[in-house]
Amino acid sequence: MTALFLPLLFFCQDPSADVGRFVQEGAYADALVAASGAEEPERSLLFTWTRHHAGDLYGALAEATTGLAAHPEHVGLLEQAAWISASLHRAEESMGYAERLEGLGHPTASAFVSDARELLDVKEEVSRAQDRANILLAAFALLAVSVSAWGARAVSS
Amino acid sequence: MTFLRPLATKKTKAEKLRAGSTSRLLAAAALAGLGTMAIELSAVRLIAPWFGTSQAVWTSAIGAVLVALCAGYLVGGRWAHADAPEKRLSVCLWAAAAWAVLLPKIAPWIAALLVPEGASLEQVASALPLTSLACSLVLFFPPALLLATSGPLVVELIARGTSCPAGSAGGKVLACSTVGSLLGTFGTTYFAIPSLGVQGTLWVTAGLICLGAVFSSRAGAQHQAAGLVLGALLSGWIQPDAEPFELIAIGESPYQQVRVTELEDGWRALEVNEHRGSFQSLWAPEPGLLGPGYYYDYFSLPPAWSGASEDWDALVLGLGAGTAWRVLEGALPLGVELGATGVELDPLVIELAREHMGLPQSSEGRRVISGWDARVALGPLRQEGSRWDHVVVDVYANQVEIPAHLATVEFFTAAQGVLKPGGWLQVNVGALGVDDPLVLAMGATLADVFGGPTLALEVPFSRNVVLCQRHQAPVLTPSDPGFADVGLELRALVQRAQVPGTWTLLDSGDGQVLTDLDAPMESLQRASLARLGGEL
Repeated sequence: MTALFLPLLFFCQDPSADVGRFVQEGAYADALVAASGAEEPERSLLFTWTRHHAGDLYGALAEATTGLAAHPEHVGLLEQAAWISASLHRAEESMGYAERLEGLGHPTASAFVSDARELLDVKEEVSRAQDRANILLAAFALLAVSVSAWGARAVSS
Repeated sequence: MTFLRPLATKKTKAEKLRAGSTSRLLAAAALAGLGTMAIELSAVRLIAPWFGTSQAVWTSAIGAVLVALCAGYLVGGRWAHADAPEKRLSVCLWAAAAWAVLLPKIAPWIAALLVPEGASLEQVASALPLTSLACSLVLFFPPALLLATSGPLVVELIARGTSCPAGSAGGKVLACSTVGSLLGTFGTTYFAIPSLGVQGTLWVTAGLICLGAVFSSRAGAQHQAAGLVLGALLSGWIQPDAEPFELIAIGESPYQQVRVTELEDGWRALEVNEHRGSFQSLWAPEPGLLGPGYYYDYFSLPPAWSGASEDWDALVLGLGAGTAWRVLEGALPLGVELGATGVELDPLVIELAREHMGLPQSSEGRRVISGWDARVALGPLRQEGSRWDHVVVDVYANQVEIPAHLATVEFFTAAQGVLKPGGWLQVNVGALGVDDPLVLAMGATLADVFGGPTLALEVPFSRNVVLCQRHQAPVLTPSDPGFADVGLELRALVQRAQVPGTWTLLDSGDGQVLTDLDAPMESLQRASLARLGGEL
């Protein structure tokens, strides 16, 4: 997914020239300083984008969440948030952002929804597996107690 | 008086028969004990591809077997007073053998019900205690119960057959069963699993339990029928499972299953136990940095920070297939020679790494200490007088657990003792950010030992944090001018490390200082996983 969307975001979001240049050079700390001079919501987007490129996924998601609190329909922030939360296996969160993008009729929404759906499916399967484990444990507890009680009765008699 | 001697020493035919019968029954008890331990020890290895071999999984397997033993003793006790105990004993042993043969085939099916395909280790980690217990009960409760019935049944048969007091018969049976268990324990770990693999071990175990069944009773026709059924089960089995195409080599060691697999672009990975996208070591065609997301690259920073100009002596504790060596080798400043020592617990890892991942033989400048625990090895190394510029601690058990004895004040003090003045110690910690509870505790422990703050660096695009300390010198921090004073190749690495929020300095008061007597690694690692829980 990273390989597919990273160049896309480069072009879609058109970050300010200074930040883009610093990030290209790998000077992420300088890019964050440059981004702090931008106006909101561009500022949040640049912070998110820079941290994302630096590999600080949790920091990037925190920046995106803060930006979205004030600008809930910002497409760039929603894309970043959907993508990063999917990378971090946060299924519901990713689906929430993807659905908001879908509601805005954004063309990349379906890809994000599909990714989030896959994560949700795995999560549901894990939950079903735990239910099966609970049933098996209950059954074996019952079996062990019954068998032991049956054996112990004869021993005591 | 003398005429009594021949009568007293000569055994009657009936006595000889009874003695023979007792020996057969004791042999059956010993083989049942052997079978129980062999199945128990194979159990964890059998389910390791889905559940790993963490302490939680061992606890589940041992717990399931103990529950089964308890129930089995009671059932055996009841059957001892019922009709035909000899026949019951024989049937139980045959059934246990059949179950042992079936285990390798039914284990994947049961495990797949409890650990969904495609789920990552993090996604299933929190449920592992529950799911591994359920799996262990389904797989190992039946054979352990069947084998446990043999104890009381054999005691009863010996007591009846020889008029021996129950206590005396019980003592003999327990002793023989324990000897069998001992053989099963050591034989499984040190001989059967390394040489035969898990499936082969279970088959041999089944064969020995069958032998116990034959010893337990003289019912010839019954044995022949059971042998035929078991043979049929086994013969339907011999087709080995298709190996994944990317598998280069596979082996079983006393510690784990070890695999070398081919990745994209000619890279290779050394994996152990579970198949969940994690690896122990990596091999890239060219030595040097591996790229974003790989913590190994951070091991290349200390030589640059120290301005190494001639030799750089590095000791890697937890060498694996030598990835840290290879990264250092390719990333050292021009003209600097690497003098490398590595300690690896599992000799099979070294063997496969030499064969398939370019790990050099021990020679001038390269020394592998194989089969040694990292902490144990530090003692002799220090006594030799060896000192290093750089000690890398990359020690994991069961993929995700840092062993407690390799995270304490005592261990880090020993590691500090083999550093040259100004030398660096780096520790790889699997954790979620620099404020992760495990990072705080290990960072605090290092700060306590080295007498100054620990630098914690979050590795981008990963769930790793690298802790850095320096002997008799302060560590550099990303805000120090010298931090970014590295070669062009390492520039991207330090630039990422300079992003605010991705690094921190930890003092001894920032977390629990871990000691040999108080290192709650399990709860710290659980707390670390719980942080992931919010996103699963």
